[in-house]
Amino acid sequence: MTTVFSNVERKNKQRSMAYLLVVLVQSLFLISMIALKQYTLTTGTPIVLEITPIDPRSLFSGDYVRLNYQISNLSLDDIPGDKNFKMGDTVYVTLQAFPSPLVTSNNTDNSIIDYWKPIFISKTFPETNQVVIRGVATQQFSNNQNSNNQTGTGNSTSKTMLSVWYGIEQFYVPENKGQALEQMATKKQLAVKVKVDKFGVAAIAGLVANGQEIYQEKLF
Amino acid sequence: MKESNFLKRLRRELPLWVQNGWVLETRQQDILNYVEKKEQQTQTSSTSIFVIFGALLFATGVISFFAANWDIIPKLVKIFILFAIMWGAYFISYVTSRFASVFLLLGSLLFGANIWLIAQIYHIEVFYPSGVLAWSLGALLVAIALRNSLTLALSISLGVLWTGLYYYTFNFRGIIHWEYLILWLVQIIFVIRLQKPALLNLAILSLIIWSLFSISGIQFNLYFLQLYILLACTLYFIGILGVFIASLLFKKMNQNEAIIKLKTEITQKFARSLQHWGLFLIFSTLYILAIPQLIHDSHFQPVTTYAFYPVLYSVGISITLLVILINVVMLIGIVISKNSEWIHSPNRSSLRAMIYFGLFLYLFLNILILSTLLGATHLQKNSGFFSILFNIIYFAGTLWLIQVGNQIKDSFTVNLGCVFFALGLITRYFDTFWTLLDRSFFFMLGGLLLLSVSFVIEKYRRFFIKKINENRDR
Repeated sequence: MTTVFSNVERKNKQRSMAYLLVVLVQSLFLISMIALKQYTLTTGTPIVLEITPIDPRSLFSGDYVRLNYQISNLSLDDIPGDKNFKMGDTVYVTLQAFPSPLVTSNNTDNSIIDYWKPIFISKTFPETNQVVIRGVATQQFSNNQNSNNQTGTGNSTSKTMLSVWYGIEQFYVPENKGQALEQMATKKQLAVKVKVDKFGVAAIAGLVANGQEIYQEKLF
Repeated sequence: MKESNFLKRLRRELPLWVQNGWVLETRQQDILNYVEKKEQQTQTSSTSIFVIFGALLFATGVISFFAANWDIIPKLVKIFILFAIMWGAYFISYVTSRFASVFLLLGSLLFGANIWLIAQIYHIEVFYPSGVLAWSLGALLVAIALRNSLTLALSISLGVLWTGLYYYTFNFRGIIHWEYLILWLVQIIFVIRLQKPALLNLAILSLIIWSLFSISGIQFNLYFLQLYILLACTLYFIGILGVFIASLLFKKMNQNEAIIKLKTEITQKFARSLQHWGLFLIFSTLYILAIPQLIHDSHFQPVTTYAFYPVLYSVGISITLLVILINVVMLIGIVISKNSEWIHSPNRSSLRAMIYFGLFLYLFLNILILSTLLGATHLQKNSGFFSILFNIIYFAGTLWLIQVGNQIKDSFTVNLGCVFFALGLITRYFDTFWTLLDRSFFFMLGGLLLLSVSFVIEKYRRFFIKKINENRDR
């Protein structure tokens, strides 16, 4: 009888431990999602990236935003570094700040904003003190461009382009806020403030409109 | 508790049955007690269903309320709600015994929902197949820790979704998602430990879906579409036939205390499922291989340029090596089972003959496929000859299947053989006579053929099934 009871107790204890393990592991995973994001936002270097609207009609639809950046499509012919990438390759892009005139709604502001632009592309993390952002290559393609020279005859030049995904192409905005942001994006009045940590991981820290920060990402 | 009409009638009829001597008087009350108990359980199950529906409706209402007010709820409160609901589901599962499994499943589903909701709250954009993988692993943890079939089924289903999204993300471009096999192997270990045949069927189906995705990723050139289908079917046929024969040997080895010691009850439950899947896949791919248009379609381009030839050559070598490997595995299986009692017992001689005939068909098909793959131009020039050969093997194979089913006393196998035989006949009729006959004659003749063939096949099918059932009863 004593053996039976101790077996039952042992099984109950094992069952309790199993439930505890499941709850603990799953909760820790969810907390780690938040913690990793917060680590990037806390320790990362703040940069501002220029948005390139991809489709004005659907850019800000509902409460879900697709963002496309200047650094989303890289010209491998113009930027030094590695040249051959295939889909799924990790890409490290070294960035540098370049002052640009600030576009505002009233066009009277002569301020300058620092947009960060790519200066080097590599498959491995480069040894540099500059800001390096990590992404995943999604497509390498040729972009045919026509140009007219002085004689009037058109020359077609082909540039090798690389599309890169950085994990910051999606942003959730409150309902009914999308349309105003969309109009600013099409007029290039909107930029995204991003923080990049020492591993190259980027996270959206806020939105900048007309040179002013209109949204800031917080933990709570 | 209200009595059902059946119970009321039983109370009326039983005295008459006792009077006629059909039922013993002493057993009358036992019968009534049994039926009453069954009815109580049914009513309890009905109540349980209402409870579950009520809980689901309430949950839906709660979710709708939060969804409508999501934007105005502070982040901290959102996080608290998400965790509280998930923990609540697990807690209810812990304290209740009757609905424990259902709430474990709910907890696993909420874990997945929380991954996406937290990603939304904190603008975390991950490679979304990875989110599905995390969800699948979370469900797998629940299944392993708490030996739960429902969450294991969820994990297997999510695994398929993961690999599907992975292939979709990479546009099926020549990438094989080998990592999926690691997850699948872990899942199959626990399927075997839980000993649920339904889970095994789900796991096998998942593997088949993965292999279909993988095969569609092997793309050479759009002009080689037909060759690529042929190659895909070849891979399938060779692999799955190996599985079928191995499972056949497996089952028989186990029943006769074979050399390799395995847990009897596990292999007996699973071997038959494996056989059935293997048979279905073999004959599905053989059916495709037997389609004449596959080989002599006008869009099929012969290998003429250097750019294509090395690809085909290297693939041909790979297929050759794969065929040799599978043949070696099967030979090993045959050698291992050579000393088993079943293969030498006198009453197994006809089954032995069937197995050897099947192996002959298999080896012959290997040679045929290899020769066609290594010489694509040769294939196109002799397309009629190869079509006929593939069809001979197909129909011989279906007759072989019916005989094997009869020998191993498996009605599923007999039925499958009949279905594929009829399917092959109907398809060949449409292939061949659609352009040769006048439309009206085509349909009249087709109808007559269908009626007569169905009659003959059904007659023989019932004969074999009856024979199987008679032998089983003996």
